[in-house]
Amino acid sequence: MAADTTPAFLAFLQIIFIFGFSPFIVGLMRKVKARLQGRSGSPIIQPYLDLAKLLSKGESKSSTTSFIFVIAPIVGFVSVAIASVMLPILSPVSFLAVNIIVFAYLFSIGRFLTALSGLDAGSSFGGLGSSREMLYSVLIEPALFAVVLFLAASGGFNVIAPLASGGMAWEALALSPAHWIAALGLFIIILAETGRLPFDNPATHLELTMVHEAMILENSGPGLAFVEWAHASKIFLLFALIPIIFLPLSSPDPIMRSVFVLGVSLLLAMLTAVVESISVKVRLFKVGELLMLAMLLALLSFLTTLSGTGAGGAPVETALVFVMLLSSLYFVFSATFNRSVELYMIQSACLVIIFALSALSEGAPDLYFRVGTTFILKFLLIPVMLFNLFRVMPGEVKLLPTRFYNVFRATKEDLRLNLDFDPLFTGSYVTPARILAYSGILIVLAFLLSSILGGTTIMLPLVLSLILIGMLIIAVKTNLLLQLLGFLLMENGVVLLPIALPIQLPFVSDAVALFDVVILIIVAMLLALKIRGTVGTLDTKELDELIEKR
Amino acid sequence: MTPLDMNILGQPALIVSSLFFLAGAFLPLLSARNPRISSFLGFGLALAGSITALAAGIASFLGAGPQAFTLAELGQLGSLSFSIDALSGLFVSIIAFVGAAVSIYSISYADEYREKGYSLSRFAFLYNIFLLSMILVVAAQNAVLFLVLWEAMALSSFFLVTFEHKEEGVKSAGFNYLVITHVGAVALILMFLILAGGSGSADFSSFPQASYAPLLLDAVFVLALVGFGSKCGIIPLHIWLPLAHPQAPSNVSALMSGVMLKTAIYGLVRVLFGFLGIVGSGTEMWWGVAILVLGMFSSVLGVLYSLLEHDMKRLLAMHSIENIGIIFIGLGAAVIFASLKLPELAALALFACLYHTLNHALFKSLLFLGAGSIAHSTHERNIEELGGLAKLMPVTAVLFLLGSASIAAIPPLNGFVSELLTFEALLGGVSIPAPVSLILSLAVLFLALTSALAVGAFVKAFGIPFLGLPRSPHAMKAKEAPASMLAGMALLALACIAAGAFPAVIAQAALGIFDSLGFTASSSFQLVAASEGLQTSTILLALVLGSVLVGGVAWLFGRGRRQESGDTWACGFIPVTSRMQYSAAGFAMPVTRSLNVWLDPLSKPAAYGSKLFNYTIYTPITLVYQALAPYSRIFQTGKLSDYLVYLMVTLGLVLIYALL
Repeated sequence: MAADTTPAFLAFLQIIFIFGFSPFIVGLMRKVKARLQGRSGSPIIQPYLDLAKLLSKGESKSSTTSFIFVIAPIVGFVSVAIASVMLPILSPVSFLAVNIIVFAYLFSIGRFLTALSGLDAGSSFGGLGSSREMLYSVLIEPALFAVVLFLAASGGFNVIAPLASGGMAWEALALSPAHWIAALGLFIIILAETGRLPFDNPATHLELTMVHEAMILENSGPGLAFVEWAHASKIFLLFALIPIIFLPLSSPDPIMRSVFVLGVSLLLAMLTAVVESISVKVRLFKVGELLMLAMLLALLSFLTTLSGTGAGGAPVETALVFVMLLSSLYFVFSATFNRSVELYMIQSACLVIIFALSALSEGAPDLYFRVGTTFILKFLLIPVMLFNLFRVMPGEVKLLPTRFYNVFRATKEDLRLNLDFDPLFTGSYVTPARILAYSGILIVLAFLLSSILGGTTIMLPLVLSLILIGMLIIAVKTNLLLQLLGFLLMENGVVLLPIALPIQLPFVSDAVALFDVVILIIVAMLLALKIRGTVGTLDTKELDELIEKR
Repeated sequence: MTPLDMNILGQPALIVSSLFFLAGAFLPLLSARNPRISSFLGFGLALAGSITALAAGIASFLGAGPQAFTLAELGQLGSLSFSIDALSGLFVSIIAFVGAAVSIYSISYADEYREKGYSLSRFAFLYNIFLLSMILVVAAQNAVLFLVLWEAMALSSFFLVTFEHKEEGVKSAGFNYLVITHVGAVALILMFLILAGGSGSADFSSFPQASYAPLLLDAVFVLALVGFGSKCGIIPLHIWLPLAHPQAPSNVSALMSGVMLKTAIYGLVRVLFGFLGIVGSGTEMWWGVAILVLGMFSSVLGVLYSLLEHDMKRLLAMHSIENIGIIFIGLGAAVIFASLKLPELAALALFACLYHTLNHALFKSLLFLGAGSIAHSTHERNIEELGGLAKLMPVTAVLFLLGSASIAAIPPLNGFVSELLTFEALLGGVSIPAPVSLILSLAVLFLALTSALAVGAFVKAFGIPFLGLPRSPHAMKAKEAPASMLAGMALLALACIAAGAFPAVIAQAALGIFDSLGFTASSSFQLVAASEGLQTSTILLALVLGSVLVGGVAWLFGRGRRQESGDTWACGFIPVTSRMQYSAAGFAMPVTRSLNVWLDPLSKPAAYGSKLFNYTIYTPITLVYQALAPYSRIFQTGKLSDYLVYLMVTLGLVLIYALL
């Protein structure tokens, strides 16, 4: 009998655990944010006091509302309670063993009803919140399913359980960059799903900047308490997903497990608070770019896991190539020239370390020479030349077209831009979201190519991706200097090919290639200076207009 | 005699049901003077017919063995017989159940047409013929019989679509529908010619044993895809759907969207899994990929187009395209897995496809009936003119909410179950080597996008007309719908809840279908486990009990405190007017703008929806046809002597061919 009732009792305890600690997590996030902003902030237990206050008040409802407004907070609250028994927190096997899609879909009950209750009062702000929330859910869902694809490929899909308990050992997982990149992608998605900066500011009081808060403007009293409590518990549950899936949680003792999950969730809460403090809320139509980045990260992990190849005994090199690839992707967003050159320096540093490691393992003297030349040329000489170019350019080096600096003198034609499509902020022909989408296609292509070429480790597809993404950047950036940097990124990938493919090239070809690159940079810089001096701009869109129309 | 032997008066239940329908078709014509009696007779007999057909369908579905009856033996053309095996039983049950609910609804709904001056006896006649032809077409066992009934279905639905012939746009919508459905019929005739030619007989039972050349098999597949695809509205053969569904009376739209589209799915499943036996003999993978890709694009484009629509019924018609897309995704995955000799995954994918067929029939007809109630009550189909109906039509609102939640895949309702099973089938294929796993992963991402868009679309479709303030005088004068209309909708809503809460029961019952289609018992066994793994009954129970508990506690505590009710605060503007609230177009704007690339790939203004496909596919074809048409006039001389010469030449050629 005791064995029968214990699971039900533990399930009930788990609900109490989640709902009991979730206001603490929210309070901790607010406290850390306040401290980082130089204030002392309200006490960490403030959310508990708020809930108690709200529960003790009466409700003030709009007469326009219908039954939806009454049932939405309650059903949303109950649905989060049901979701909280689906995670294996207090016991290694969850009380309601379902797969992660069911868990994710359970939150859509609350979202559906809350969006409806936003429309219920007939106010503009409610509709605003509902409409934006629907946009977010549309953008989040494919990204979330990219993570689900990764979980399916790792074999951890049928139940929510640590990936380490599936086929792979924890040591192998901890060294696999795909594992952590997927966790990063999931973290970004969780930020979006829970409505934290940079996606939505939970502390704003300006209605036009609200997304989630606008839907619940009309709620008061106990209804608002249920909504806020359910939201806090949803935050806790989503944070708890990361230790449950990505960290090895195998102890059957409920106290140990709950302490572990709570501890990691508190760490994630503090990390969220730091991320919130250093980022700004992105504009509504740019949210898709961030989520596209998260989807791309998850897809990268998925493809890596799918190809079945591992780091092949070179985990550090593989991790460094991942860093190079991520910095190439980040290049899409970089708008200033300095930032772009800094990204290039990061890539060069990774290259130097990779070459150094291979030199140490093989011990051949020409490999050390290669390390030296790479360091001198790519990490010192070329960035210095580029920074100097930036300095000696006559006048300001503007990365945006001229007319954007004359915004007050802009004509109606100029202002007829699609505000949600401003590629010029990042100096590209198309929106960053589309560039990331194309990068995704190129990464898939790289994986397919590498399986044709017979690559045995994960390095080959990653290097091919580097090359292809470098080419993409040359194609989409509108500024000559940024295109040049795209070429340099591509060249980094080419340099890594001999390591990825089991080919031994003589050192001489390395030296000649590096020398060629330096010559190319010098020629390109002179060309850029001359063009800038004659035409007055480096923006290729404006240069395009120089072509004579036949 | 087993207890499941459905013999009534010594005849198979199918004959009894056909007699009910025929009576319901012809008797009202006799009482044409009295519209009330006509509609009561017509729809009441349709209800009786549906109930008997439902009994027959469920009996076969549960394994009572195929019940057959034969109309005639036609020698070379085979025997014109009907038989309900497990697969037909499922579809007969779907058609009959939805037909029953819609018939209950129609008893009061038809009054609207009496007031407008249309003949209710004609309505009842066409309605009964339509339902009868649909039920018989999935039971037909002979190609000729199938085609005749298919045509009867098309013609009766054409006359039903153009029933309100005095309205604008009805006739052109009907004509569009007629043309496309006949293009599909031509494809089907060709397909059956190939099938019958290879097997020597037009009977369905002879097709599985025949063997066909690979090129002929590909031709059969393409013709089936065109023929059945045009009937179910897959992109790019969908342009008739958003035109025809809104113009038809709402109960007819419910039947068309909920049930008629499913007969096409039946046709595809029957051809692929029944006749060609792809589970046993294998097939080309590109077949499955083609179906999957069509499904992927239909689902995303369908729901995106619906976000742009503000006519209630057009919106729902676009959602039908979306759901047919989801069904095709499941079907395509099943064909891919069958071609790779993976029967377990194929069974799961096919189960997801059939389950979604059932669910779509239930919730789509519920939604169309709800739209009909709204139109009946407010005489308005444009949701931008409605608002606040939840207070004036509360029961309709609750039922429409259940339908919206079902189609938006909200747990624990039926839409959630079938979408999840589709996901599980697709994700099961992730371990297959590339490129199959990549295509299936892409399908997962498309399906995820569709599902999220559907939630937003139905927040809009339910929220704008039912919540907030009324946006027009029509909406302010709405009244609750009559009892029979509510009863019909309630029946469907209960079925939605049941289909969501008891997937394991449905899986258990469906095992018979898989046996008859060539799957081994072991491959279909996991379906029950997969359905149970969704725990929807537990979720439903917990949700209901929990809400009652929490709500009760909140109410108890709230009794002593001050509850206030007043106008919505709108930053000092009192009173709030209906112009201050969000409009449907504004609600959908962020999503449509973000996903602009899907809607506007040609970057031409307003080139989306039907217009895109009209521009790229249909208009060029029509122009080519119109350019070539004058050349046919060479033969049409108008002189009798010339036509006699044609006759004699053709006769001579046929005689020579027969003698050789």
